[in-house]
Amino acid sequence: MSARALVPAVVALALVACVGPDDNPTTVKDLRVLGIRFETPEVLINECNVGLLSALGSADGGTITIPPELLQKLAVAASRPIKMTSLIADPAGAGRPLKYRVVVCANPNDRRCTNEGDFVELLRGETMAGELSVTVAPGAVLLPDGTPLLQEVITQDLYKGLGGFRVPVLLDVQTLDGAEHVYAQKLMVYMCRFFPEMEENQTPVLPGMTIAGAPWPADEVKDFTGTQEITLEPEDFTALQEPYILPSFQLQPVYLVEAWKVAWYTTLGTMDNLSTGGSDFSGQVGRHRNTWKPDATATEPKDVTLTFVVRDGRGGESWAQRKIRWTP
Amino acid sequence: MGQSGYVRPSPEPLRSTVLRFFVAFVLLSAGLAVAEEGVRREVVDAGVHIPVLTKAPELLEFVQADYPPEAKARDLAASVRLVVTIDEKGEVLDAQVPEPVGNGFDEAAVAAVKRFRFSPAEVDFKPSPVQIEYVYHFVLAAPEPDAGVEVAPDEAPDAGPQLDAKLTGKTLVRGSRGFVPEALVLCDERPDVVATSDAEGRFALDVAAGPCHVRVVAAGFFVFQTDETFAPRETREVNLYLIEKVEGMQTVVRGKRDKKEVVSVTISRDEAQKVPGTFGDPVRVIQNFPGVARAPFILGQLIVRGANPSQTLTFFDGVQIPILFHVGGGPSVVNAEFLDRLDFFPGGFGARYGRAVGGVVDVQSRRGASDTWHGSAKIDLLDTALFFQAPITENVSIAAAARRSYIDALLPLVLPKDPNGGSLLVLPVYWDYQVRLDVGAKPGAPRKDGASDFSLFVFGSDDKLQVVATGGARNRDVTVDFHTTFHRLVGGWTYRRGNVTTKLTPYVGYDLAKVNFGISNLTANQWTAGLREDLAFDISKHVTLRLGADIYDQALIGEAELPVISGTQFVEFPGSDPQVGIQRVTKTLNTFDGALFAEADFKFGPFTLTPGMRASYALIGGRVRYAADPRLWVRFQPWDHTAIKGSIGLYTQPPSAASLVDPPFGSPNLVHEKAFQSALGVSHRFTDFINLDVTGFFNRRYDNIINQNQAVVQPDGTVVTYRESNNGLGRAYGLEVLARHEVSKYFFGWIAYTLSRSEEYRAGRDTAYRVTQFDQTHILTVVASVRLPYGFELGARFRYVTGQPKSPLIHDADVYQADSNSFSGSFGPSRSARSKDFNQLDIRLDKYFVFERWTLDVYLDVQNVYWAKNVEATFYDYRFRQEFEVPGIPILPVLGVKASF
Repeated sequence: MSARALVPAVVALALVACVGPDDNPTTVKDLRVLGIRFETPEVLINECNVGLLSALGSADGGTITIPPELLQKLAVAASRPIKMTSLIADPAGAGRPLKYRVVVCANPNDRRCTNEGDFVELLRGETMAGELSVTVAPGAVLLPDGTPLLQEVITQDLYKGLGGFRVPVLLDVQTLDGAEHVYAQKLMVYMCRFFPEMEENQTPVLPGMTIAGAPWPADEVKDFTGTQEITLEPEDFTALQEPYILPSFQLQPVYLVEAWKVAWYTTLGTMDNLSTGGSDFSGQVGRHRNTWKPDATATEPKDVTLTFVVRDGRGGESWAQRKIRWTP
Repeated sequence: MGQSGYVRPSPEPLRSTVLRFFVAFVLLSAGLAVAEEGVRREVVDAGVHIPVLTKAPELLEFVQADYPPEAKARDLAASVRLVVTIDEKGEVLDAQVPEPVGNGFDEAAVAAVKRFRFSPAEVDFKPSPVQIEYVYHFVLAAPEPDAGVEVAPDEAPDAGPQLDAKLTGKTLVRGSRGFVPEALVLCDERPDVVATSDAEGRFALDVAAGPCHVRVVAAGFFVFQTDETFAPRETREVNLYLIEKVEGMQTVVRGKRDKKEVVSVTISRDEAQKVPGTFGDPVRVIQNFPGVARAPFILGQLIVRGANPSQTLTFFDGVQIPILFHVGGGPSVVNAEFLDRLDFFPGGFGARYGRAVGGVVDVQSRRGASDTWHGSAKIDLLDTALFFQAPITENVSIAAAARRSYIDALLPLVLPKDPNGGSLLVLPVYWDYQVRLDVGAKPGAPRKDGASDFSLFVFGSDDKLQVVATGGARNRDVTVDFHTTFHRLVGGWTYRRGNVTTKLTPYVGYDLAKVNFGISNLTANQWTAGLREDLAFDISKHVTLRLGADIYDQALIGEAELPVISGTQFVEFPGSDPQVGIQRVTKTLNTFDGALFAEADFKFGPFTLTPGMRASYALIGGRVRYAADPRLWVRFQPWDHTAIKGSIGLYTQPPSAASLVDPPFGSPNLVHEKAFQSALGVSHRFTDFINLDVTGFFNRRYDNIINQNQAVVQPDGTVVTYRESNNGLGRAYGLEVLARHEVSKYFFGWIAYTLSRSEEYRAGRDTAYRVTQFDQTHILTVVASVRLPYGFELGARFRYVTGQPKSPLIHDADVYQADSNSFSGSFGPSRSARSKDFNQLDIRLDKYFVFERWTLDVYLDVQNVYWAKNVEATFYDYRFRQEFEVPGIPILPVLGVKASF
């Protein structure tokens, strides 16, 4: 937003606050997918260098031929089984059954994996709210016409693998009557080891959570009443944020350090911030302090689940939960 | 002896009866352009040569009118204003009374004036028909003794007491510091006791000792009366303040001259300052004319016939204004007090303008006063503005204006306090200035052949915005410093000799843009030197030729310290904001852009054909760009007051220098944007003040520059990303209607209606044209401003605009991306739905307090008087399940005060 539009924008935001939506993204009421985790979040392909990629040709959208050497390396990498765990929330459903599908497709912009000829359903079934774990090999799939999915991914990738071969994996979950329906996409990354110093990405894990500055063990249920607000902050994980290297568009190493983001959810009340962390254009890494506020209109005691989903910005993702027993 | 009424003859007809001499030129034969208000516009302007009055007509034979008997019987006096048409021999062809006074005065004045004889006027040193304003005064006075009638000694007329006292002084305009020349000062209605004020309002009247009823009569002013008593041989000096009948209104700009452009709108200073809801901003006034879409909220962007705001350029005395609006959607940098006139061309503009594919706004600055010093000071909610103008010598004058905001002082008083103890500071500050020095003949004075006029014009603007949000419960401290400034120094030399007029405009400029955001900072300095030349030849009465050059050279140096940019320098991962290293970037870009243009008017009876060409050569960062823009205008004038006009042509606009730096920050392969513009229209003038214009237009835009972030993988595997491309196409077509009452003594206003459609298409993405985000099918604007008694002036503006296009939201499932933790929406056909229609009424009320030497104007400008619940934009909940509307402004009153002297 240009600074010249600042005043009208400030005015607009002030007006928006008067007429905005009631649905707060931090409050989990109905069917939601809060996170998806791959173990491992990334497969690093050794001896896959830029020279191989350049043989893939320019971004003209036409059919490409993958050099056999690269194809072999991709096949090995793609055959590694990956455990996919999804965190499905459905407080309103109270344990109702849900049906799901896991689909892979070629283009990350195809958010529902419906482009004809470009998707493959891996499995389907029934589940309920909670963690859903399946094992898949997203890269080792052939499209209906026999083309390796990875080949089509490369064909449709603008950067031809310079940012990794990213295979979209879709969790399609809905209630049995279809009244609530979520398409949740996650990218599985197969990354060439362009530089010897590159390391395979590890899943980020929060070391712990504090409440009002004191440690909050995972198995401890806290009791709160009335309008009491709670200040939460993860235990310091600065040292856990991995340094990593990516190739620039000029094929030079770019040295980066993860800046984890934490997404905050509650089944009652609201959180002040949906997301904390990450680095901005000013070079500042955001802090992770957050405040939970109870629902002023609730009249019955409730068991509240707080969920914290941490992401490392490279596909690594995990979550932690804490419980509160709240009385009005 | 009783008084009898008669018209008082003047022993010196020219001096006494011609009280105000307004010279307006009317075209009586097809082909000559018309100038307004004398010889101000002798320079080449908008591509049309304006003839110059080189010799005014002089009254050779005065004819005394018969005093209407009915009026004489009722002791009535009057002044009759006539518009007199004089042919090239000095004979009166016609005399009209635009504002009849009744009681037989009009007919008597017309009968007399039609028998006047003048010396021929000369335009461009040739005898020429002209039209003048003439005021005939009917003054009740004692009759002269009837010659040849013997009078009995006891009936001998009283020759009157001896004139042994003196009344001297000045006749001045009440409420300002202007002089009233040619005012008649009388005492007791004695025909032998009368004086006329000179050009500086000075007069000296010999009177008799004793009581004297002083009466001052001047055209355009209410009669002034006072009673004085003189001692024998007393000399008394007074200042007599006359009340103008048209307080505050500026001289009428009739715009009668023929223009080749199918549509061109001229805005006077009064209109620029008085239209409700525009905050006195002349650029915002343009939004109320046909062809201009309504900008969101109260922004002043010009969206002309579907073009982006950046495709319409604004010039100040021929030099482009690089940043048109102040920070935060504030006023334009054009100070209305410094405006002499403003011409707006929504398209089809002359070859002297270029580098724009939309419209052109040409602002002419104001010369300094030639009588005495004047000024004004204005205070309102946003800023304070000062204006000053004065003659320095007979031929040198100066005008200056400055403005400064004080939102930075007021905003901290209204921003909410952080309950957690954090601090929030938002400080927008802007100022601008204009200074103009003129050397040459005074405005309105005849120009000598071979004379030169010089000018030096400096203008500039500065904007700063500082935002500091720290502490409290914030997880992130925000500090932003934003600063832009520009300055221009513009010279002018105008010279005319015989049939040739030339205007040379050299200029230099400096621009700065600076942003600091935490550890990131960007500074861009740009220096410009340019030259314009406009040459006009009257080859014959059928052919006029205009040539010119428009050249500039620019050096841009950009320096930045910023993080390595994800998506621009390496492949971005969804939701990723890692810690990155800082890079230092320096870009230098030199631009040379030279254009030559030519136009010729071929006039054959009622037809005028004007072919034109503008050709340019640009060297931008070592890359050569050519453009050739042929244009054609045709004008057919079957009757005096009706014209049919058409135009077609090509228009090109180069990319900005910043867009052409090397990738990934720029796209050096960008070429000129192009547009084919066509229009056909008819205009009819019903009266001196009322005219109607109806125009149809069709435009197509090619090679539009769009944001595309194209990534091209090179054979060696590297990736080059181009931020922008020329893959945009656009078209716009419609009908524009403008019914206008120009500024007169008591009223101005217009009704503007546009029916239009503007569409765009992106090669490589779209399969068909879709409407642009600013497409507004119907735009109706009604503006009116009326002068009321007791110093009040009331203005109103009503607008009705079709709602903005939007894409209909279709929700059947939540679509979630886990890596970025974000949702995306599903929409129907792009921009196939609309927000609700916009309607709004704005009102402005001015109250003038007229004191002796100054005038106070207190005004209240209220936007959205009946608090219409308009919709400015649409947003969605986080899962794109529901739409919500961003409301427009509520009722918004602004109070202001302006003092003029």
